[in-house]
Amino acid sequence: MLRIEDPMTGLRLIGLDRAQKRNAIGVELTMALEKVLLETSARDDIQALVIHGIGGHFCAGMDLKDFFDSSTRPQELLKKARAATEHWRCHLLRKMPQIIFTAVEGYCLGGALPILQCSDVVIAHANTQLGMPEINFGFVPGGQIIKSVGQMASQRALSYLALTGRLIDATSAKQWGLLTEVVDHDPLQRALELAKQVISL
Amino acid sequence: MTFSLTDIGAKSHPSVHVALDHGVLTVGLGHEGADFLWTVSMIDCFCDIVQGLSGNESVRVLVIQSEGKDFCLGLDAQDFVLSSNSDRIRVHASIEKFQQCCQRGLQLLNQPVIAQVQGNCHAAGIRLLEGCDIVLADDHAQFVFDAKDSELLSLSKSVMFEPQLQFMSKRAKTFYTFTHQIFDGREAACTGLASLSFPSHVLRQETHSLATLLSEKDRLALQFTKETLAHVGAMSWDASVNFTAAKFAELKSRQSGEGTMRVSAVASFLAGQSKPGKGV
Repeated sequence: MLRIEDPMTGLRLIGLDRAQKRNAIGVELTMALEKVLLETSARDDIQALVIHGIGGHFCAGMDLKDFFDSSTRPQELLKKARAATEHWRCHLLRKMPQIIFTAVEGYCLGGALPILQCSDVVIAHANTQLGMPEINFGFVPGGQIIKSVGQMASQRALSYLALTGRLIDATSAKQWGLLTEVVDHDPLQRALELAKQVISL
Repeated sequence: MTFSLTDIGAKSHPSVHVALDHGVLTVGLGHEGADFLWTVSMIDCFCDIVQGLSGNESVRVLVIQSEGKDFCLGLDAQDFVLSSNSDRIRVHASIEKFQQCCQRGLQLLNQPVIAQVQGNCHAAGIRLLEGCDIVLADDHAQFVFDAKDSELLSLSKSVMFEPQLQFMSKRAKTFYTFTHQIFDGREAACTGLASLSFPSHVLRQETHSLATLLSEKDRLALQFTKETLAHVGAMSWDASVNFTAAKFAELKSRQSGEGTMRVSAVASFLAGQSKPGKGV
């Protein structure tokens, strides 16, 4: 679910590794993410974190089949997974002592957006598509997702994304404050380059 | 579909035009080829429309646009000053109603509200935009926070009439309020006053396309999304989780045709099934 790499002193990479589901956040992934963030937050020797997606997409949001009505998971497990999700996206990720660099490409939807908001730097490939598609399924975007996007973008941008369910491209997303930089090559390489610069300071 | 203002309890007005098409209610203000300025009677009519739409299920989306070349040039000085001498209370009440309509009425509507802005958009027009969820502007629309309307109302000893500009970035709000400098639709989209801007020749088509898209979405999900947008920003993270959980449960219940949680809970209690006093 996650690919954790520590390529050099002070730097940790967290790769969302569920490519067959476009890295949608399912039960195992969310619990693994909580665990690794908890462990990393206590590590004084790690100064920078780079979060990225594996397989061409950053993250397609929450895995609806795994989490919601059609889920066949035991209720107790779902409760734990939901608690873990709220823990890492409402509290843990916001208090990480490390500088967070996030590299995005492909889909970056719904439940992935709080990760962007908690990141200090977000580098996106020009092919990135961002949005809150919940309304297209007859759902309401989670309050935490709306609150996160509202802290990055204007109320107008937020309303547009939440009500229309339309995806926006990287250029619009940068204009709306969701991204730091748009690149036409591998965003992970650029994020690593910046992270290494910060570590060397 | 034939739709008249009387359907929603509003009186007709020669400068307020309505048309309902597949759930999209378009309110056109003013007349083609003429400057659009708010009069007291137009404000009354517009506010009655907004009030009448609350809970109206045949209207899925509200689109506000001007029939003329400008979105809005502000208040009609002649109407407001002359009226204020003879009927100050009526003017005061009308402005108060307009403020409430923009500040609360439009925002509390269950339906999403889209404004389409072209040409000039002055103070009272900008005030109107504040209540809209989505604003699509012509790239070359001209916005200005002039003090004309406030001065006019000050002369007539009526209430103050300043836009709150809650959607704009603080820097832009301060700059344009102090300088009264004109800015275009592209700048409005960059600073948060508008959602997006488009070239003139595609603006109408973009508005129509967006309104149609919204009209096809789940009505309750749109309403609950608007409520979430209005409230979670000021909540703590934990409160926003609780709010979402309550909204999801309510939405699921109402979408499955079971009515509201309150209705089903009371029915269950009356049927002797749930006993809240005993914690079950």
